[in-house]
Amino acid sequence: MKTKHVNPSPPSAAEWMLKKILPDGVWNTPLGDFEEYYRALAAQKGILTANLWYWKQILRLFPGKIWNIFIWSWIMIKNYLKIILRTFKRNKGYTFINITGLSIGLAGCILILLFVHSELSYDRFHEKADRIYRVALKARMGTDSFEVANTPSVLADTLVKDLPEVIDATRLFRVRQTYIKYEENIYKEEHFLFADPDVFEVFDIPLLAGDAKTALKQPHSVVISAAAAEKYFATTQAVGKVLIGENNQSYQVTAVAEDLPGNSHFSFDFLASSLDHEPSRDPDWITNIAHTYVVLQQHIPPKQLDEKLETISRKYIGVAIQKDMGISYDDYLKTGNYFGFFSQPLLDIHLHSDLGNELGANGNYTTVVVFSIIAVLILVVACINFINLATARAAKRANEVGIRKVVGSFRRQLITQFLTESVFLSGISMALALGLVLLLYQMLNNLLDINVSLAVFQTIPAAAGLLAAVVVIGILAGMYPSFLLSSFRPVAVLKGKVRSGIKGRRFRNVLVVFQFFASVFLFIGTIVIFNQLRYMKNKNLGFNKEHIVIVDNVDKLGSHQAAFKNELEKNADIRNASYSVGLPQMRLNAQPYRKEGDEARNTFILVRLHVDIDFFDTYGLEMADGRSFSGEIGSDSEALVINQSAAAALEFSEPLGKRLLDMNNEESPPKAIIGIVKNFHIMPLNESIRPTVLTLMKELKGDYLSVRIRPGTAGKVLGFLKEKWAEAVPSQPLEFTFFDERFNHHYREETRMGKLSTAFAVLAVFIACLGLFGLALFMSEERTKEIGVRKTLGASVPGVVFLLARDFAKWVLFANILAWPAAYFAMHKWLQNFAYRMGLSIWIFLVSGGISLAIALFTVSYQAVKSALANPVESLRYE
Amino acid sequence: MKLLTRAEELILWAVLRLKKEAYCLPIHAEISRVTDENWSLGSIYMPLDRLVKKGYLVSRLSDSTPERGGRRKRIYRLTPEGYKALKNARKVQDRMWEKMPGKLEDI
Repeated sequence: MKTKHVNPSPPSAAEWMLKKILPDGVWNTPLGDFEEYYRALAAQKGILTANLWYWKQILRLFPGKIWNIFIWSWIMIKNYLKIILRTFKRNKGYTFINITGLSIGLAGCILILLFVHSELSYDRFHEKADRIYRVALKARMGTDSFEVANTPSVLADTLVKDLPEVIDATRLFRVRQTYIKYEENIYKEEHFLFADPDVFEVFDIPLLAGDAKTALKQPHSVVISAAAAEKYFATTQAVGKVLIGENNQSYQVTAVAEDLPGNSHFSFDFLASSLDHEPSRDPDWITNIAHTYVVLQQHIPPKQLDEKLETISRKYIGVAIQKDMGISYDDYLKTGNYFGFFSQPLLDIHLHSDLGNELGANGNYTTVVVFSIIAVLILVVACINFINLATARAAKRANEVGIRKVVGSFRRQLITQFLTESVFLSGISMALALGLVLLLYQMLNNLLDINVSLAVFQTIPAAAGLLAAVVVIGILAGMYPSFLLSSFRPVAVLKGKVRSGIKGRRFRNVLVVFQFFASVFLFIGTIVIFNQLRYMKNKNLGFNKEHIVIVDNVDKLGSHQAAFKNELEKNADIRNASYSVGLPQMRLNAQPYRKEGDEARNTFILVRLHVDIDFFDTYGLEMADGRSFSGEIGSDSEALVINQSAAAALEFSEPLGKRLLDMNNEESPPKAIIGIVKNFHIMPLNESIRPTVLTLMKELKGDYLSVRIRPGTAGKVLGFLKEKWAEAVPSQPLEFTFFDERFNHHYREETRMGKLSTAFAVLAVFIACLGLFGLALFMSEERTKEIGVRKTLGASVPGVVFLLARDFAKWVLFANILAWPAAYFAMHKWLQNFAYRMGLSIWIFLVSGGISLAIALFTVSYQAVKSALANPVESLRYE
Repeated sequence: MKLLTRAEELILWAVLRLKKEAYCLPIHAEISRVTDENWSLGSIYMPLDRLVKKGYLVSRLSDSTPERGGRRKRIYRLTPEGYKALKNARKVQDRMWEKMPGKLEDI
């Protein structure tokens, strides 16, 4: 039964809309018509039908209405555009400054955002990216703790077997470098990985040829990248070809993969079947060599995985600990030590993980944040130019506003006009900025050693984002000027009462202060970063890093290491040569040791470096006590040298002669300490000097040979080395680096940051000066008469210049005073990242202040001098 | 003489036919009936306005009635020019159909 409504009336919201849609003043009759129809319908078919009808009628009104709005706004916009173009033409200088500043700022901002976007996009191209996790290892022993990305080989299978949440697990094994031969050609390859056959189920690695299901199922099979295929076979049609690897192992190419995008945390040229990799079958729970990735079922919280991993650690590592140390896992944890697995989301690996043994260089989240902040700063500085120039020139347009108002413009229309103008301007700037980006992005790639692509611009969100940016920047930058301009009272304006200089002056000064605040801030940041870099590079490392050539791959010499070294020592230009396993300033492994006769739980973690007897001389290490290894004393192969830091940590009253037990190798007898070497920086400088033990290699089996040469003989010695190497290892070319180059390479991230902040500090200062130049231009125009009068009354040129410059200098100084503490706190925080850092000296601040002031004054003085030199007759004549 | 649009012609016709009661709703009903189409109520205001501007219709406000929420009706009446325009439209129609075959097959 329909309920009969006594007096139904249309929905009020619908009526309100109808009123809005209808032209002003004529809504009375139609509203009546609608209501009458509505009531009739309601009485006949019920209220619901009537309501529906009413709404439908309104919907049907919309198309016409929108068309109407469009036509009328188009007519207005056409008029606005005409005015805009005229204004631009009449003020070429200002327009140029505005557009240049904004487009450079935008280009800088877009470049940074491209970089940020690429950093944030790492590994997202894998379809299951949000449920892939990497399992890693965390350990804490005594005062030492570390986290590594690699895990035991048996972990992957165990996880699939024990945890129902884990659908799939796959492993990657890294080979530091290897040599691959095809016919006559041998290349050194650094991106050689062994992978489990199901790696393609976890990661999305598109294949150009071959079948992902079977590619790695057989031993001796390898999947190669398109780049590698081109390199070896000059074609990507490489399936079926055979490559020769180390130890004459042959690999048949079973598939060719598309090159992985640059934003992948691992990359490969060769993906060989793990069936060929002996360590992949290692059942040991303490040896960590595999990178293990798991795919979880949908909607499993990561915390659940971590909890399960804890039970896995307890179950399997616990057994190993029981066996090695004779205590249970719980007792082990109670001693404050830890050894267990944890998980990392795949998407966090690039920016949030900095573990030992990563598969590639990772990014840094702080860098990304810092860069984003810089991008915003640059953009704001550029927008401020626009606001400043527009408000400064308000008076010039006051007449236009006055006339428009007299003729009947509403304030809203004027605001729309000025906003259209600034949106138009930001549109032009954006177009120019995109052009600049196109020109410059390769340069950025080279400068930062990254691989940013412009492909993102082809996506709809990016295009929409750029468009939105144009509108938002236009409106933000144009808001204040348009409100200011539209507020003029026509009577006052047309009488000529508005003194443009006064209007918005305080606001402009605030903005100038902000611009220079940002510039000085970036300036100081740049100086600090570079000083810190220089500080680290010149820091006394406790050893001599100059004039050392590092020969890689000396394991290829096999049993001829001693003979090779003897050959080298015959050369007078070679002072010393020393084999070692690992090098100072590399991330070295730490090993558990304990004092002889002490309990197992009192473990010390010591960084260990295997060396030969010449190591101390080659690196110029100094002994604090005892002696270094000697070739004459046979027992030295069972001896240790520790550093001062280790001596302090071990708390021996008299360390010499005391013995330490290598807990990973408990069968071997404890080794006696024969000497204490003065502390030297064995690890990179963001770590402090850790307790270290040096052991003597029993037989020469180093992987690096460090050669100290006489200064100035590098060319000669390298030739000699190559010749000798070719005799000893004919199959492979000599691989060498200079120690100081390797050393500098460690600070890539810092160098990158330094370069980028320099580029953008310069950019910010440039944009700010552009704005300042515009303001100065305007101010001196404003004060033409004043200057004329002053000069007539006898003011000197320097006096006038001083007068004009003083105004700006004041605000730049003020900006400096604000920027100093801000920069101090920010940079102080940044420096906390380094164990060894320089102090923040007052000079850095004074110098940045001085430079910013000098640049500002220089900018202003061009205009100031020009107007001061002008003949007063000229400036006063038209009065 | 300028030709009427179809909507204008229909409205003039409806106003003529409705004589004294010609306001929006009956006009709408008449047009909907004769065209067999459900016209949107809003879509006849524009042609009505245009016809008033052209001088083919004149309008006045009537008294308000309660079923319209107390709002007044706008009642339209044909002017002589309007009548002429409607006749003209009729004439065009008639001429179009002079000597036309009765069926499509006769062509």
